[in-house]
Amino acid sequence: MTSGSGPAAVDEAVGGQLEADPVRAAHEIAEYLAGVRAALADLPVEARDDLVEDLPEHLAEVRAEDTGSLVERLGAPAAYAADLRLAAGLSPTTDTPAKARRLPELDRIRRRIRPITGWLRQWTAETDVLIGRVVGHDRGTDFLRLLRPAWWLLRGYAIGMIVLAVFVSDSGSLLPSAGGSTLIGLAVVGPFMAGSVRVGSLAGRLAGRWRLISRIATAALALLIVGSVVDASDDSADLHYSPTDGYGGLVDIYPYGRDGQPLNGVRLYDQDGHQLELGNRWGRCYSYAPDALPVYEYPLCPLVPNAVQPSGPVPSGSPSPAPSGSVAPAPSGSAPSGPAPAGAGDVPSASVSPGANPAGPAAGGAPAPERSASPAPGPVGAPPPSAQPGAG
Amino acid sequence: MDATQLLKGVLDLAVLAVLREDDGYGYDILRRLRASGLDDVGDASVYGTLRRLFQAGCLNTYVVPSESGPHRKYYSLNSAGRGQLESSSKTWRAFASSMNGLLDEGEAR
Repeated sequence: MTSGSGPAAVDEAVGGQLEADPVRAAHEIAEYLAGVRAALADLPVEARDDLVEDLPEHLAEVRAEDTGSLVERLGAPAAYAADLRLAAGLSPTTDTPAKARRLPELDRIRRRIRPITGWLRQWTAETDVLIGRVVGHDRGTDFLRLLRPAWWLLRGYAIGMIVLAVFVSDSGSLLPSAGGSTLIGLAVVGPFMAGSVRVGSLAGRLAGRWRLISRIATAALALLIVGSVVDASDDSADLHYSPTDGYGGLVDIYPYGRDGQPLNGVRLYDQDGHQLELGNRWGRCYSYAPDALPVYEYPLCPLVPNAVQPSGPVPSGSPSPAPSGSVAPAPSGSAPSGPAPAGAGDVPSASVSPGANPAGPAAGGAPAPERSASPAPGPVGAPPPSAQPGAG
Repeated sequence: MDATQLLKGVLDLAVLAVLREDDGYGYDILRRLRASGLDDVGDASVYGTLRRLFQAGCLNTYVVPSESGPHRKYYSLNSAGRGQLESSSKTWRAFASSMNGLLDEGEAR
């Protein structure tokens, strides 16, 4: 470490002379400064400028004290630079020579935004302390540092799950699974988690470019994880329509064809090709052939064929919208699996078996809502909700 | 025992403590450190320490123009710096009392 006092004899001999020669003093300062800068030439320009920022001012003060030359007072420029570097926590020498100098434009921008980055740095540091106070540590980052191993595990898990999704693509749950086997899934994801922890504990020793790369990769991965979580929650919201917009009590849907025939096995799709899962599949029909029950094919509770009785004066094939006044409109309270209530649950023609399935839309095909279909001729089962008499 | 070796470990704390009393520019801080008995403190190590503490967000800076001489960059403690000073002081006091206890114990025998 450089010591403050130069040889006393030299002080006395040259003191007055130096004072008398400000030009020479300025020259000495410039020379010393250049020497220090040269010894720091391997640092990025920004770091070096930071380091020597106060130096001209300091050298001027030391020189003005008139107690000897700068070298006598402070030691050789190279030694001064070494002390500076050490105290500032920078490595003694770095092997990459000032690569930032290749981009002078970038340096100028850096210099210009330095007040902003300084302010940001200060702000984050203060926030850090503030958060630390809340969580009971000196700094918030102290607390986060404790959580590091947890992040390593999560990171490995996320990478493993991404790999699984790309190559196997049958994960939908949080537990890894491959080909239906959670065991294989764990065997795939587990090594990623172990590797991530290993990398995490080694990453502190990374330097230079690799450190930067690892930081960028980490940030990208974190974004990916957040993105996929948000995406997943969006998806699930899409697929489960909540029938609150006017159909709060909706339990089942009874589709009818243009000819007034009830349709069975109809699947409904929205504009994006997602199947609609409206109604309560398990509610009313649970006792009705639960094994044979298709997944959200409407009606969920098909009418038993022999329970369907022709009733009312509706002529076969004629889509007359006017049902007999005696027909009870909705059996909503009654059990659908039993015999239809008198006058209800009828079809226009008794000769046509309702078991014949008019084809529903093929899975993934365009939705076939049959918007233009004429309304069912009679209020059978549940009346088609949008049907208006007279529209046919 | 070389005091400069000891200084390396506690220079941060010393600089923070000096700045608790009053803001200061580099050379002023250096003088105050020396005045308080830390004769061996080197110019470059004080400036380097100031730079590192600033980078760590413990210090604020402002420039004061002066008529006779160069403009001076003053350093002051911010709340992060005060927090750092507080926790480092605790560490130092615990360490020093352990050392004192150890030395006293040896002397008593």
